[in-house]
Amino acid sequence: MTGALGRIKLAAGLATGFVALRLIYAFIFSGLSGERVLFSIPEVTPGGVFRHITFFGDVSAEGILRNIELALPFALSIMVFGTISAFITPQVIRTASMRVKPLRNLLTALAISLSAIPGVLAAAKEARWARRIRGERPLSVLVPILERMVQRATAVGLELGKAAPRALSGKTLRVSGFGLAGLGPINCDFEPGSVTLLSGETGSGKSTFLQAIAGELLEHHGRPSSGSIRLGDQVLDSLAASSYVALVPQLPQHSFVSETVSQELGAKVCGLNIMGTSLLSDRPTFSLSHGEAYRVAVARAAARKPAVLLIDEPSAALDSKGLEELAELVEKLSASGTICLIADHRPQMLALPQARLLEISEGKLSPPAAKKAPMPQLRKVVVGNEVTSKIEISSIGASEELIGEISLELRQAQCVAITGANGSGKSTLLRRMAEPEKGELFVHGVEVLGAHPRRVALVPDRPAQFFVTDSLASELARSDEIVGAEKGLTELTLRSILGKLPDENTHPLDLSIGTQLALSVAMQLSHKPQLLLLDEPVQGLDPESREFMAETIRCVQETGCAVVIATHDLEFAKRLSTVIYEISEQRLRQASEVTA
Amino acid sequence: MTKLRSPLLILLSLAALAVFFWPLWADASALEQSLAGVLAVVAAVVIAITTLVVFDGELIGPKQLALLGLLAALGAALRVATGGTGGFELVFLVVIIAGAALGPKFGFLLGAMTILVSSIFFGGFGPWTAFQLFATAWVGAGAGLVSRRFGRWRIAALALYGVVSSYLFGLVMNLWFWPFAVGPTTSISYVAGAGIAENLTSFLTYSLLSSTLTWDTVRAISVASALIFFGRPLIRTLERAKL
Repeated sequence: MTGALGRIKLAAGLATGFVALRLIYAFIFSGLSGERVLFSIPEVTPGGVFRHITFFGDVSAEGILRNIELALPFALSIMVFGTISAFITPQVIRTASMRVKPLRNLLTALAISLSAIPGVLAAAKEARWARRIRGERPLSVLVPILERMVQRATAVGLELGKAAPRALSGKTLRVSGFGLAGLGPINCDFEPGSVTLLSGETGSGKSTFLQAIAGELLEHHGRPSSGSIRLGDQVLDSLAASSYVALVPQLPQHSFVSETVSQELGAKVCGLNIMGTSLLSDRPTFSLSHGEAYRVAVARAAARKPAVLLIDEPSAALDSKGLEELAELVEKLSASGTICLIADHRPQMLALPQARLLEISEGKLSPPAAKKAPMPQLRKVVVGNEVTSKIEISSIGASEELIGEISLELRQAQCVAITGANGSGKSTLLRRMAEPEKGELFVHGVEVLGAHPRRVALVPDRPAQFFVTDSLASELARSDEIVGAEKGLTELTLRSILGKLPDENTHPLDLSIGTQLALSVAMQLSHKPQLLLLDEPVQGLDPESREFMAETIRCVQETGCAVVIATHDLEFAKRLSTVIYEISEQRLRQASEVTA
Repeated sequence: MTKLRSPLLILLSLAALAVFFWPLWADASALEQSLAGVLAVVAAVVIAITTLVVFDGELIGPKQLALLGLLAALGAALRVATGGTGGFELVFLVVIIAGAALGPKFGFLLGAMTILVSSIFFGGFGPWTAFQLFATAWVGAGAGLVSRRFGRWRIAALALYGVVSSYLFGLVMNLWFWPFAVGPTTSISYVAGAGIAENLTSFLTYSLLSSTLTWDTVRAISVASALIFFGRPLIRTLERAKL
């Protein structure tokens, strides 16, 4: 945003530039002739159809003055426009959008647009970063950027279209005959004040079910469903649902409308410090980490005091302290009559003993099947003695230090886990390792500078950033093409992570989050890197897929590649790694016992 | 009112186009030409505001508003991020994709909105803003019309359209600015009564030198190649938005 004085200066610059341009044209096309000739260049005439045109010729004082004089009115108008525009600020537009009736819609869109620009610039930067660590072509960033815009527009539209929250208690949420492509029919009642934990395999339809109750399926995802969902006598269409139901989505980063956390929540809600959000109040929403964004989304939903609160996959985002806070919040809300429905792959992570357990299995809702036999021990990997990767970073963090003095050595085929609370800097550290500066990272004695996915490959916590085509099949083919591998390599890797492949014509973004993650791991593995960095590699994965992911990491290790995983899922970290580091109090230290 | 709106919008666009052509029908003596110039700028601003007021009623639903706002923010950010006049390439790409995916009216509005947003946020309001607004809006509307007609060949047709619209955009923008840029004294200035052929040659010489050979060509090539390589997934991404 340019200030008022800046704009007037800019206008003055443009006006001066305009007069200069006029003189240049006049000089080139013999427009400066007059009595007192200062100097003269022989006239050139091209002839033919251009015979009336002449170049150069006399340059006179009067000629110059006359042209300046003739240029002045337009130069002046540039100044007038510039001065007027100095007073048209985003605030003025925002106020006008509420007052000027004939232009209300456009001014609203304009106001949305103006407050979105900082976020858009950040998204563009993020997409360029993802392209570098993926090794993609420059223009390909446009697809993920555009996708972010559509996601944000959907979220902002949802937010704008929301009716004011309305209190309603003592009503039962009744789902009858609900069905949609492979899901259902589902019949289920949720009593007021009840807490339900919903589990199910990756891609089983948990998120879809929650979106249906929140009234978002048809309106915002364009997916019609059968059956009915009622709260008491009220049919939950999108408008009714928006006043009674609040949903915490799986990836809430896109759903923020405002620029900062305190604007998003409102000063009053921010002061309540739900889920520790008052500490985040000054942060721009686009800069929040996955876990922090999730905390804000929970606070926003809880502050609406909804009759129905839906929470999608909290254990993938929150650390153990966050999950404790969430369990307390849910107990408090359910005591006051709120129906709470939480979808999670690991329901045991939430300390909610009185909760009802349900599972979506093959499209049906049922009490969870008997516990499957515990997974067999992962096979051992022989870790080499030779140190293959050396990392020495003096400090990380732009304005204030996030982590200082990082020193990490990885041996051949070793897997190391990094844990730490939400916002402690796990992702930031991994990002730095994927794009190291001078002298910070050596692999097999060779210095790595900047993004170099064939040596160090990172899979970020938002895997969709890598997708640039419109189907799973073309995404897989493109990945083979980027690394120059034989056709089918990436597909083979994906199959070994997932066990089975979804329909290959599916749009990559219509895949479940867990499947998206598996796909981007497969894509990065096709680079055959020497060091693999995985940011939250099991978020959104069911126990079986987690096992496949663990097996895949083992296979990667067996090729001699070292692996670093950043996760707050301590159980998973312990299964894979003998060495676990923790980030706490701005330091990375080795920990024998840590609480993530 | 709703029924009258579409013909009214076409009429307003035609009126705006007539204003772009002012150098060809305004009288040419120095004083009168500058007066005609002032009138042209004022007329463009008035027609632009009228068009926006008429269009306002076409916008329905919060999602459409949000998408329009966010895509305009994207265009404005890209225009500045890639710098100066050359930055129009990515604006064109976004506007063409949006017009193709979401229809001519959305394309028109997005073009107009992108210009407004970038002028308000980054500065650069000037007598040219109303003209830029219309020229960019037409690029979006045209993309919507082209996209409707060429089912299978849509991407190829749009790439070709990208080239044609890049040059046409440059030509109309040069046309209204021509008298302002060169003034009445040069050998490529408008001469009243000199005949269409001679004036046309003068204008084309001016246009070739100012933008056709440089910006317009860069834009034509980059927009067309971006559409060929990424047009399909980009359009599908927007079509998934399901307004």
